[in-house]
Amino acid sequence: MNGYGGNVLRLNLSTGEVKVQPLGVEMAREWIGQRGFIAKILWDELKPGIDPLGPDNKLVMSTGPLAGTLVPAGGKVSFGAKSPATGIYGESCMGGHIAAEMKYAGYDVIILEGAAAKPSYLYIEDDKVEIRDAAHVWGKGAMQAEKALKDELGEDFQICTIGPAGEKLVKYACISHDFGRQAGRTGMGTVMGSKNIKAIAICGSKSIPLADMTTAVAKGKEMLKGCFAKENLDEWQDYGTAGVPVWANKIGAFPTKNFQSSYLEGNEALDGKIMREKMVINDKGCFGCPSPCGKYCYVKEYDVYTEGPEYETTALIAGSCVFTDIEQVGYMNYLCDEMGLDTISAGNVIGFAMECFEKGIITTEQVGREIKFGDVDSFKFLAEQITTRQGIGNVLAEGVKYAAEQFGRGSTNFAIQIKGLEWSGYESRSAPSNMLAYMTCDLGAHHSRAWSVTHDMAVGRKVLEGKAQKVVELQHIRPFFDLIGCCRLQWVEIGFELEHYPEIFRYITGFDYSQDDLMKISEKVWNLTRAFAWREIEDYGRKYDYPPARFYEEAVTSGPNAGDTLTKEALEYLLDDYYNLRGWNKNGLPTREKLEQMGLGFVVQELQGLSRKLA
Amino acid sequence: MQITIRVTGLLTEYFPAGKGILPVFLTAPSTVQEILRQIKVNSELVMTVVVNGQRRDLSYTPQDGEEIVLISPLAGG
Amino acid sequence: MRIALNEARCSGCRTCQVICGLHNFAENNPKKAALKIIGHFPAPGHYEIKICDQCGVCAATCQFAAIYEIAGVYHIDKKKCTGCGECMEACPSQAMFRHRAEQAPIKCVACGQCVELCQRGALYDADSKEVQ
Repeated sequence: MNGYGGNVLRLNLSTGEVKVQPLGVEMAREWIGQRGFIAKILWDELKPGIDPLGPDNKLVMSTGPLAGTLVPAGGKVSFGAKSPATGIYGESCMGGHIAAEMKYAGYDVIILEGAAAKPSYLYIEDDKVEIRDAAHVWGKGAMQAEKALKDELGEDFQICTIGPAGEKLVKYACISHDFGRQAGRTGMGTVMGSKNIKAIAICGSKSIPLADMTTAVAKGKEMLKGCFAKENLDEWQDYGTAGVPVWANKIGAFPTKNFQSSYLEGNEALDGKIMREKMVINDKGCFGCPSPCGKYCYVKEYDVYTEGPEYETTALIAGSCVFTDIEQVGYMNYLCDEMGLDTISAGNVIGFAMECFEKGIITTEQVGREIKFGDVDSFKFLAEQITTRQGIGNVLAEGVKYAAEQFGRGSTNFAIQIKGLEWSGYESRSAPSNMLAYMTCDLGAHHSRAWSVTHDMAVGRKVLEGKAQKVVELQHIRPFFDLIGCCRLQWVEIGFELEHYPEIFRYITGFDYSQDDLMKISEKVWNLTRAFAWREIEDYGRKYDYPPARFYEEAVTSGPNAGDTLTKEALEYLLDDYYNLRGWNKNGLPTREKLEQMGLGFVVQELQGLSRKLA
Repeated sequence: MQITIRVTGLLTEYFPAGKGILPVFLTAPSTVQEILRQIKVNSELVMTVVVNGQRRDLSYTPQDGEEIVLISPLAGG
Repeated sequence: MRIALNEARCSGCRTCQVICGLHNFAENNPKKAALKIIGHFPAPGHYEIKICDQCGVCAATCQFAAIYEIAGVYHIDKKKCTGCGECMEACPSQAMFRHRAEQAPIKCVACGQCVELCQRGALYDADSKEVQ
């Protein structure tokens, strides 16, 4: 099939059975790829109520039709499963080269079912698929394991791995690839660890058929050159997202001291220019990327190599845990990456623990030592305790929501999460649309689906009207890139125009979709993942969409937005407006009419079968 | 004197001329910051100013006939 | 076109390999590319580019006279090539590649498509730009 690897690879790790099925044309036409495939497969194949870390959960790895072709940055792959962090639909996306490699091996989707009896890794070389013993890499750091397998299998293999945190089932373990790219969110590394899979190694040699090769190549070249010509390309590739922290502080959006403030004193020292001078040794790009944002670093002070820190890592480690030395941040980034911890959740959880300690909610006896904001040893100690699940680490390894429930004494108010997923790097009390974006993100408090701080600034930061509209629009556009296998950052960061994508999509796949058609499919997936959550949780709805009380009861403590808060009434207004625009009921649940209009009749039937009351 | 202004990225949505070029007439030399106030563009949304391929900042005073390119802030993901 | 390298600029994106396969085989398959990018990670953290410098050792080695030169660029005559692989062994740059679906090795014919799409200038034309 044009644009596709053409097959679904299904491995039952319990029985060792390997099945290859052709990818159906209807599946491709209806769900495009990547996140679309994942959502549909998880809906169809997972029984509600299963244990996310049991053999009934499935880990689905999928990429899209534009990956591996001559488009800007066609190198994205997503992992999906029922999330052990949130108990609802989980998914995380990463770059690197393994998305393209899957396609060259002939697969658009790899489904892992069951669980291996002992530590194993997957060996995939075109049609040769084996479940191999991984005893020799079990326990190794994520990058150490990747290096060991590369040395063993050869440079041509693309490999993703988990670190010790994934092995120990820390709820925010990531999947790591290409020595510094991670699918970090919603515990996909945890699910991989629960299946006893340390790594997936892929090497492919096949060609991807294209519907109209000549035109696709011409259009691909035009798109790449369009990116090369962008005025801010140099700025972007010099600093990548490391250029953002200073700006985020200037506008008061930097999550500081576990989100007490939105401004970090001394943040200028975290600037990309300083990072570049001190640490960057290489600009590292993912597959097909015209604007490489990976800043590969050597941190001399600690003698370690690490990719990054990226904005989100700096926001949660430097901001939330209060550090203003970029080399220290680089070192802690390295620690998390090797251990296989998502830096967003890990930074958030550790910042929370530091605040609990400062407030006397947890004690030296409980923790085993003193811990404090801005102390590298405290961070390292907690990261190691979490990864090995020792002492208080065993509680913190369950995520900030669970930890707050255990610690009590009001700490739930400042456990900065939604739906059980730790908040990513923008403090949003002064950015209502962005607050709403994180509140309603299908995964939990995350920026990938919609991010709209600039919109708040452009139309007024106190304004509420029209904010939901923007969020809905972005929740279709940004995740659209996660249907096609492409990075969104060419569009987000260097301003490359969206309208090119439907055109090259047509030349590659032969499917004639307008931009509106593609956005409709994106909206269909959005409704499906919301329905997935409701299928899991009977009382799902509005009450799962609120931020922690800190954001509506406490004011920002310092910086340009000191004193700001968003009232509960403002949140209600935003949610009402949002649900209304989505065609959902007052409780934030899709209506029968909306689901049917989206072509999700099968969802209506199943939800009714479970006695969910559809309006 | 006259200058022209163009913007890239996210900013196009909030710029009077969108993706087009905006001519601006000036009665006296003004900084980019002052010009932005005149055309009602929030300067917080401008990360960098590029003039003739050179990076400048908001305090730059454009010369007659120059094209000013305003670069949107990066979103950090 | 004299293809030259500035490896320190390589970001490892492999766009060069994709266009190479498309241009020379009319296939979307970078595994048929006549150049290779090798990452050296986690340490020392840089990319190496393997590409033919048209030295001609392959032609001198070939027993079947299957490699010929036009204007300083060496081409493989696929009709004459037996796929013995001696040229690959002899290549001092390890810049001839094997693909399981092809009998003949794959080598660079200096078409310059990779240079056209290397935004970073890691691959460039030494005839039109000074050596870096």
